[in-house]
Amino acid sequence: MINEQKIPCPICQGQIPFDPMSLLQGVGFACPTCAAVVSIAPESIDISKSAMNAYRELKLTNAKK
Amino acid sequence: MNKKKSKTNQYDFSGMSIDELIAKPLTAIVDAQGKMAAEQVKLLLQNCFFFNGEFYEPKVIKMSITRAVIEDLNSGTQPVLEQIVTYFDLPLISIFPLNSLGIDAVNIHFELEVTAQYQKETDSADTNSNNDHQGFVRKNNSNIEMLGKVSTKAIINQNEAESIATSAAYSVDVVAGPLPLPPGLLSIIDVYTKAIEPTVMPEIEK
Repeated sequence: MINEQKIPCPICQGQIPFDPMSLLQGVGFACPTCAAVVSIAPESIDISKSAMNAYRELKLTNAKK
Repeated sequence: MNKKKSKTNQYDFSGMSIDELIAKPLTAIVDAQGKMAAEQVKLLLQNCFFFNGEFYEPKVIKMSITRAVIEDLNSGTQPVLEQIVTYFDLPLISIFPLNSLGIDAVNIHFELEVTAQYQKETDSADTNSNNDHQGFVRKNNSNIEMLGKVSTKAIINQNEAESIATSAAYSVDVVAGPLPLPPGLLSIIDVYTKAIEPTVMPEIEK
């Protein structure tokens, strides 16, 4: 199931839906209004991945409790 | 009619009152929610912020946005479609799916049935000792449902001792689901987003 979130489009100020996990894997998401494609820059993937891994561990820890 | 009970009345369940039966799971859920919130804050501070010794600075990730741009429309030549990549910064907190961690609904069910026994000494015979309390239903806005069925059956034996059974079925369903982000966090994200938007510097008059 895609955990859909939205970020504002820097070009048209519309809302771009995206899935954080897919975004971290390099997937681009297009703005439904202006078709601009948003993706994460390669230099920021590591910092995002470590944060998302910590988030995943927190979810697993809570699930075990 | 001078009864002495060695234990409390039939509304008790293993020494707990009905109020406590309702309150205990709720307080446990509130505690759990509080612990989850505390862990989320800890997670946020550790992963979405840098601590520079004085205050927390938000971690900013670089995003790229690609769009098609048509150039040279007025030059008389064939227009060229180019892909322009623009980089912009985004606070890491804004892509964190924090709102998927939260308790969305709680259902508490009580089905009380009397099974345990205790002795009761009586000074005089009392044959009117059958008490049934059932169909007690309570609902409120917190989606709490309580079905209570307390049934006591008195048995008078030769020693005028009464046996009363008490037991309970007790279930708590907790549903975790997506919750909206709190307005404060949305405001922080909005402020961050506006703060990192590029601004056009005014021309310097010569």
